[in-house]
Amino acid sequence: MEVSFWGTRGSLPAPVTAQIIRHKVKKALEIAAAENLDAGTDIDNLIDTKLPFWVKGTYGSNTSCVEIRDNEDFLLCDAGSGLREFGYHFLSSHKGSSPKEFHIFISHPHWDHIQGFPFFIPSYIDGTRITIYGCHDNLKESFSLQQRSPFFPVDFDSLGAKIDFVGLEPGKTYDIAGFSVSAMEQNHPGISFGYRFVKNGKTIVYSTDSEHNMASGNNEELVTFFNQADLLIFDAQYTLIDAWTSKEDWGHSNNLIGVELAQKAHVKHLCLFHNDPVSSDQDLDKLLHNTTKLASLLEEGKTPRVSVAYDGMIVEV
Amino acid sequence: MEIEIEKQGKSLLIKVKGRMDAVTSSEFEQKCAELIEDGERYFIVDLERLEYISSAGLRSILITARELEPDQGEICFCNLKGLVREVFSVSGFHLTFSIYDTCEEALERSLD
Ligand SMILES: [Zn+2]
Ligand SMILES: [Zn+2]
Repeated sequence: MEVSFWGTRGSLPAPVTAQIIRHKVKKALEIAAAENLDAGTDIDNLIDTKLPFWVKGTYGSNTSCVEIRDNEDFLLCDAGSGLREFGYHFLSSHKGSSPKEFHIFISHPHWDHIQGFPFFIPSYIDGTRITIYGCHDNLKESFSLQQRSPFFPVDFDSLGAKIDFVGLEPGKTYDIAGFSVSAMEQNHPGISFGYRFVKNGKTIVYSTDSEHNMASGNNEELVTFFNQADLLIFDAQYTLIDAWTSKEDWGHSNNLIGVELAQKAHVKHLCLFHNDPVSSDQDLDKLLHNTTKLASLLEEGKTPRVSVAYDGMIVEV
Repeated sequence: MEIEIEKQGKSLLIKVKGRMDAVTSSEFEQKCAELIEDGERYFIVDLERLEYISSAGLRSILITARELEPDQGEICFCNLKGLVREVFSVSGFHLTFSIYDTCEEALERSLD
């Protein structure tokens, strides 16, 4: 099973600028010069082994969209601006094939989690089937509102695809596209829901836009929901001090709580997600470094593998 | 967890030993609450012999800091080592609180 991250940024897209690219190029050239780059140098090897990720890449700017791929079925978590990218990729890799069915699970209707839908090209193609799942009432209303005049020129009801909305109840288990799926209510302004997907003994948990603050000490329920996950996608937008002080009640968590919960729940791979739009690529490299170190120092349970999600990241589960 | 308290001028030097985790951190929080109740306002927490701190420990520190706020009290830290130093830095606590290498330095500054 493969998990592809099409959008990993929190709150709103945060694209790189020309100045940022220049900074990366400058750093890359400095490193190359120190390595005595010449015509005979294996450049790919130099990039792979000598350049830090922030220099050779970027964590990306698209908002939440994660694809869980197993065989023919397309499962997606959230429809942030990363969904646009997924749509293009799907069309270019399935040229000439018949329309498909997409299952989209919505954590909550905040704009950064639905804003990619009007740009999801398959939704304009007759014969495509899209099922949108969620635990909020009136999800359809949120989707059609963002496509209403004057916000967008194409009305939601005029899209070519057959689009259905299916309401889920947290705590129940559903059989969807071969996965056993359950949802859990999370602490977030307007509430959000996490999803747990299980198939063939593999478990993926998608838990974004979820705050674990002083007041919400109900960890046992979370630990059970995360239990033994092969991959836990976890909102770590803030540092712990920000999450508990200036950004309290803003609805997001942090890397320290992520490590503690992942260790308690015996998670195998903790993937930090919903990256803060104010974080630079360098900041996120540091977040990965610090969190990996932290996971090896904190002693409860086993140390999970740690990663920070980036647009284009693919994780084999 | 063991807590030792020494009065040093207007400040209290609080030496914490052992672990500050979900089980023990309420002890620290409660002890500090009592000291605040008794009118103490300036806490220097010596973490030299603190071996382990989890988010629950950080939470108890934050609660104590909040309780000190209304009376312009202060809490600062000294002698951070190993994991404790790391957790302070990863969580952003090192940017929010005054942290000193030694107790002497902390005491000196608190006399200003
Ligand atoms: Zn969000
Ligand atoms: Zn949100």
